[in-house]
Amino acid sequence: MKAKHALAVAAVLSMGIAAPAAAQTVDAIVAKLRATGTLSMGYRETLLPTSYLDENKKPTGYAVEMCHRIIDEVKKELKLPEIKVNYVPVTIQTRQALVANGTIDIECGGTVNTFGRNKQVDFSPVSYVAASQLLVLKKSGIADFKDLNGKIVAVATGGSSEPELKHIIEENKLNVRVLTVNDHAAGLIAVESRRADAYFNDNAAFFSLIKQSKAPDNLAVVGPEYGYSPQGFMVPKNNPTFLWIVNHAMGQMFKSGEAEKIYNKWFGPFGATVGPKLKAAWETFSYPE
Amino acid sequence: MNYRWNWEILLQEPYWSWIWSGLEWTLLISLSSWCVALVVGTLFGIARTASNRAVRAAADIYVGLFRNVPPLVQLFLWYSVFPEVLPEALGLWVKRDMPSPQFVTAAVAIGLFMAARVAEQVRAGIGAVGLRLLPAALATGLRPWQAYRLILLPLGLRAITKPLTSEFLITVKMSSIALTIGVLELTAESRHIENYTFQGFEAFGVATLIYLLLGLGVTGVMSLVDRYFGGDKLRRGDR
Repeated sequence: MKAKHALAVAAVLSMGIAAPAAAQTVDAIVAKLRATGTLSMGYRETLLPTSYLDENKKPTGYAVEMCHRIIDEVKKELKLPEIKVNYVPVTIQTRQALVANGTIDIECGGTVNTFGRNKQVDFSPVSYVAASQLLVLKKSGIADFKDLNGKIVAVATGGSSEPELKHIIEENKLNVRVLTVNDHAAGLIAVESRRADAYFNDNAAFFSLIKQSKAPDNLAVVGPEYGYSPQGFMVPKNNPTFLWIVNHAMGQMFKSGEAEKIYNKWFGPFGATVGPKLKAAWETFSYPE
Repeated sequence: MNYRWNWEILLQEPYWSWIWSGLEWTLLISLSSWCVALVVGTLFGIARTASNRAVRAAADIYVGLFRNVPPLVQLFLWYSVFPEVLPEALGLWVKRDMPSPQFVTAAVAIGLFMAARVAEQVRAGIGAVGLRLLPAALATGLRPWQAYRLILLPLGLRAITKPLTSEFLITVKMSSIALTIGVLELTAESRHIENYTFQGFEAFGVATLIYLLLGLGVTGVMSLVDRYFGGDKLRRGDR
């Protein structure tokens, strides 16, 4: 009896360690598209203006529009008459697992591409380059990283901004108390309630935060743009054909200037233009046909 | 599912030290909120058996309030609302200059929630074992507080070491809600590792194991305490 139990436990454990490699099939998304004609798109509910729900609760935004262009291209390449898009909401915590387990075929939000994450999922070319800045109350008088000496700085755990803040503190030999917060909303509340003097984060998140705030006029985004956080759309591993179509579709958008047009449509109202780092990333990916 | 297992990641820096510091915070929060819960809970538990009606009513209100409002809501109230109703200077001190504001808030909030549950156990313990001895104790010339200290509490608390073990275990697990206000305890650090490496199963797997070991440790310590004070003998009626 005991041996049987041990065997069962060992079987379960070894499944966890060895089985996934064997269970993978190549190009599962294309096979699914051909069989069912549906594609699952992951989107974020409140990441304004990148990926969010509009007044009619329909996913929209910069990343979602880009993904629709990609889906048009998928239709053309695979010669499918119609693709039904199945929208799946994701959060920072769920997005990776849902892509890795195949629930989502493409995640249209703003996930920073890192080599670590590349072990679990594949990424599209760069859709957006975020840089870190400070969200402060205007009356705080903070304008640069040097002004943070003796202040409390909020930072979200888990993002790329956390190690960056550490660097800035060491570089400038600052005496800063770090307040970890759980999400962007908590960062905003920390600044507005004066629990922290500044919220250090990638500036892509600030657009929606300022929009959420009850007193947006009191807030300011200050400091030099720090770091390089190239974002892309996540795609499950082992889908070379689908990933090729994604790469190709985005390369075409970069070359034709369509990407910039979509960018201006969504970020223009916030006063943002395509920055030099994003432009460089797009040019790098503008391979010839 | 396309998941590449990589258990080694947990032995690498900085992830190993994240787990370790998460464990330290979990222990700190658990122990300090358990101290708050024991002290406050015992006081209110005694108050619930008091003969003075006003004292009893106050204790009833405390237990009713703190036991029935979800602990997560209580934590948010302590963290976000409480400093705002204080005078501005004091509120700012609580938010900014108090030593580790997030940790202290979490320990107090979890401690006060658990205190309501402990108070119930203490009241039950005194009621089950000691309350009928009160008239006898008073008849020997003890003052009421002496009767509690020398007779009712020793017997009552001894009777409830087992249920208190459960409360202690709940406190340990409850410590994870501190992550919602930004304390990087064990669960938060597991999430932290998942965010950076996308190796969430390994991180949460180890966290689960650590919680299990903590729980078994608490159970072991509490049964030692129980044996030391003779709780099992008391329950067997072997006085």
